[in-house]
Amino acid sequence: MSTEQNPVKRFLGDVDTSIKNSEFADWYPISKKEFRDTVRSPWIWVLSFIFIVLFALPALLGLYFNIGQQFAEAGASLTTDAYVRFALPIAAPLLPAVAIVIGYAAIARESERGSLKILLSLPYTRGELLAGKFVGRSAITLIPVTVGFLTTLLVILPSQIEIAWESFLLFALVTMAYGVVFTAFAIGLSAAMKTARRTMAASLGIYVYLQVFWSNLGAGLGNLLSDHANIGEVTQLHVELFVSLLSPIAAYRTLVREILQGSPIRSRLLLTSSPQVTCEEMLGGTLEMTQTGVECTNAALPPQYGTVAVIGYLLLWLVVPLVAGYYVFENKDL
Amino acid sequence: MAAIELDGVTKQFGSLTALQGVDLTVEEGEIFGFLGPNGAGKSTTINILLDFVRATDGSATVLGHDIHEEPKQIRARTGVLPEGYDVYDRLTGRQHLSFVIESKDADDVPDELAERVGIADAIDRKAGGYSKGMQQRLVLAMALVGEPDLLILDEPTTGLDPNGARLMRELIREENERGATVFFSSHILGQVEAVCDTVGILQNGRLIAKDSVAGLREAAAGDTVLRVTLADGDGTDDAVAAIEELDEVSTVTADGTTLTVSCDSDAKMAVLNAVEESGGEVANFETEEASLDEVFAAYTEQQEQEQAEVDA
Repeated sequence: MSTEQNPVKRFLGDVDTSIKNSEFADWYPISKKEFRDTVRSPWIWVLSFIFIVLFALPALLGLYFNIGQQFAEAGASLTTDAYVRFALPIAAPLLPAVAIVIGYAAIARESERGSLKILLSLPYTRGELLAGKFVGRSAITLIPVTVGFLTTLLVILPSQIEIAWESFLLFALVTMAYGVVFTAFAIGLSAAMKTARRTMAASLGIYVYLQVFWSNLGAGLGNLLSDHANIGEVTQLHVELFVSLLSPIAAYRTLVREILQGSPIRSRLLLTSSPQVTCEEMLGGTLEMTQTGVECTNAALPPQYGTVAVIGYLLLWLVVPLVAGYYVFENKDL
Repeated sequence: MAAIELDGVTKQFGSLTALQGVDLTVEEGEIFGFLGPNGAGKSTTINILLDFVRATDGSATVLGHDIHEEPKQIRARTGVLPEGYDVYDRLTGRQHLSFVIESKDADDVPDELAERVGIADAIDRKAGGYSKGMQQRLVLAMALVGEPDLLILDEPTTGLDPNGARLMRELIREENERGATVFFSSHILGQVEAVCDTVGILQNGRLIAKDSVAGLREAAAGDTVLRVTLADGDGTDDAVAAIEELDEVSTVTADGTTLTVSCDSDAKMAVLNAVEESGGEVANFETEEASLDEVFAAYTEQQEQEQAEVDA
């Protein structure tokens, strides 16, 4: 048999078998079915194309027109960090939209059409069904992201742009996590809502709110408390920073900036309305102007604004919708 | 042990009561026909058995497992043809079957299953291109995976042509001979009559009858139909008048020389005697046993009358 001779196929077969035999992977056939079914949708290829264009395009521009040069630090050679700066403002708003499109129909559409009855006639609990859907659809979200990154690498490799591997790979990793978070968010809503159309409306509504209005929420809340509850300026900035970081979009952006700048403090300062007060009054540091922008030296970042905490806030958008969606789904009549 | 046991199962959707205290036992190895008009609550009952819908009151077990506590154990040993299902348009018949085989950890061969339901030629085509009847056959094949101890089929013959319906009956018998209990719902009585050991009739959310096919017929014995052909047409009116006087007769209609009489099953001789006495000559007569359709109608009417009396 040809599968016996092909080592790649044999390896994949072994992986497949060992996952199948694992005690905790009863959901595995569902995720496989989910992947097979969704990957055959022409939409996936449209999304992959958009990602290739939008992710690789900055690299192409840098290669052929040297536009990225202006982003390179003075005196330093042009690196992929310049590319990441180009790609970040594209990925931050685009990827959630793509992930929502991939996730929103996961359960609500099957429930509307009746194929959910076939799935749940098989030996799966509703929780396993949700887990299988999450894994399968997350894999789908990772296709356009991975294809986008690989294309970028292929374009950059032969060019004069130097690849800063660490920041490039970390950027890829955080971006993948960001995509998975929004896929989980849409699937959680899909499990809770009655129809796919409502899921689409709700998830896009929340996404637009996060994208457009959330950045003002922290500042607005800070002002409100300052006007009516008589809180001090530092407390006001705490409110502002903390609320801002609760948005998955802001959390993702600040994590990527942190990768580029090598320091969490600088990227958090950008989220507040007054970097100087934040640096000096809240963090006890000194604000300095350097060649590469403002720098807050000798400052200590409280743990709730640290890297681990921000990753936690981002992951909350994965866990909370899935858990809440599960409880609604578990207790409803199909 | 009973394959299915419902104990006072009640289901309310808002203010609508879909099921009212249904008690039902389906024995192991039985072919059970679950009959009732559309909207009687058949699908709700099946949905409760499969834990798609939760009962408002009452309890139930399937294959000895509580429906709400251990739905996974139930589904591992049950094959289901759900009502209002849909297949995955983008996946082939083979992919559907492989998915179910993997899910149930069974060792069936997709080609053999497809062969059994007559879609072997189409197994590598996408299910979205199948006709409704072929999709039905595919889902039936999926229900057969892993030699289930119980088959739950919700309106299995809907959408099937006569050949498909015959195949369905054959498969039900084969599976039953293998040892499976079969529970299937239908509003088409002919299907139930042809294969079932036991029949339950559900109406307005209540189980109004449960008996063997023969037993139900007997219970509705008033529906025996007697056809009497007279030697000549002259005495028809006299014969009709004479028959109508009998207490056991509910209706008489005349068409030329043929009289159609509905009466109690033991009133046949009385009818024939009445014809002779009125001066008519019987050339031929035949009796027709009540079909399940008529039994069903009799039950339904009886229920409605009782309901009307209660309301009055």
